[in-house]
Amino acid sequence: MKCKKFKRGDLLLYYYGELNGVRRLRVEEHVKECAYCREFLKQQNAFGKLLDKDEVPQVSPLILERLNEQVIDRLTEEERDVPELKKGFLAKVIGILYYPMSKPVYAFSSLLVMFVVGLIIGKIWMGSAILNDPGLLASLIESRSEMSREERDYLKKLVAGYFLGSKELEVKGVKEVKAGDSGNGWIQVDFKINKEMNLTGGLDDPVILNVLRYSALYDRDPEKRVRAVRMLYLSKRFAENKEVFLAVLLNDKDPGPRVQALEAVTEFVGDEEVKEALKKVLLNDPDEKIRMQALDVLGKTGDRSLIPIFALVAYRDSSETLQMRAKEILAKLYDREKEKS
Amino acid sequence: MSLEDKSLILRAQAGDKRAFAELMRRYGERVMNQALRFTRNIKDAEDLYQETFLKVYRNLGGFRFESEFYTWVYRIMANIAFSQYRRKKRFSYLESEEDSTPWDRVTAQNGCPENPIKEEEGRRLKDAIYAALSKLSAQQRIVFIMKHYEGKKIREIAELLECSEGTVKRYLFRAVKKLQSLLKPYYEESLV
Repeated sequence: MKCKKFKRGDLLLYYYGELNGVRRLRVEEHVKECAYCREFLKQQNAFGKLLDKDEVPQVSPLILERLNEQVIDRLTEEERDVPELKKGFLAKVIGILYYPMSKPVYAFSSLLVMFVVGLIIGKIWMGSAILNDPGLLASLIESRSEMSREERDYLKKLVAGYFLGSKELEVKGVKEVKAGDSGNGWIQVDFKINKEMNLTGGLDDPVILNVLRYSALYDRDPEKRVRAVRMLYLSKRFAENKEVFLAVLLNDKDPGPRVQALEAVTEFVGDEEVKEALKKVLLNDPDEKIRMQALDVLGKTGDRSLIPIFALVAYRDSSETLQMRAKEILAKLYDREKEKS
Repeated sequence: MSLEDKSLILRAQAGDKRAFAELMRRYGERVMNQALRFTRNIKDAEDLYQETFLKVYRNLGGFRFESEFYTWVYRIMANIAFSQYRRKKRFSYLESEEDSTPWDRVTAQNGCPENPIKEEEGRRLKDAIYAALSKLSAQQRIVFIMKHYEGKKIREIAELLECSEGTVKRYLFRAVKKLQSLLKPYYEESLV
């Protein structure tokens, strides 16, 4: 029957002299009474005596000499591989660098880490190089034969969008390639970022619209600016393009784009900003026809707050025709006021 | 530690391999005996011996003469044996018994035995002990040898092997249980 007071482990600890003081005494007292534990320790003693017959073998001094020589050879070999290992700071650095190559698994891991780091650096470098070199980017897009047309167009749009804010982009031409004057007609924009490219898209395409806005404001060729303003007008997105129209109307040095911009804003004369811009055009635009057009647009509004402006034109405009036209408008406003009263 | 040993260690610390070779000659026998105890196999013992002295040389700069040189070497060897062979569970001779050399045959037997029957019984017993110890895992065997043959305290073993006392006890109890079940027929004879 097994003893419930002491476990086998406790008796083993007792046998191996691991119990001290009270614990040891307690086991000794218990063993006097417990046959099971006594038998266990008796067997443990016999087991210990049996193992004492095990001998420590003797190895030939010749074997030891051979082993010692091999150890020295290996140490010499290690030092030859890293000859500077014991010479100061440089040695420590070399030692650290050498360590990753000391085992195949370390060497493989190091190479893998270097490869990944190289990839990341390469990617960052390539990325910055491409962004600093639009020509390289354009060539890259044009040369990727594995890309579908949609993919290439998408990339081109991204590129055009990215370079719109810089002076790198030059819009070479804008043409309608499909549909007519509807708001969703297909537009092809030829542009140049060191290398010529073109992209095609609807007038609802934000990139196309951005390129057109850019062209309307910055293209050197007035014809292209005219066409860009016209396309923006056809997009029927007045709110989004208002600033471009007004900027062209007030600042373009050529009359063509200004006329086109004036046409674009005519139907929105109720807008305060448009009205203010037309007042400035009426008073300051160097082109008589444009001033006349502005006068007609403002005159049709019947807005009495414009009377001082019309009066100024009637009094001091360099063109007699405009003066006459302004006086007619003032007379009409006067008659209308009289009828009301 | 003798002055001569101290001088050799200092020279070896400075990179003098001849001094280190002399240290190996002085301590080699004890180290090999211990390696054989741990591994119970000449091939594994040779590997452990060499790994130990290589590590000793590489770490010699860290030896501060705060303990006996052999104690320091023993600690290094115990750690290698305990951790390096952890994944192997048992040493290599169990995997290829043909190549193995039972430890009682390491030494050459010279001359004729005086009592051939007793000699044969003794050899059979040693073989049985050898076989039983070889069935232990490397950790169980190392802990058992440190405790049973070397009489080290469990706390001391735990410190040497850098593990907890509970782990040491666990290995010890399992080792004793396994050995007793394997060797019972041999020691039961003496009980009758």
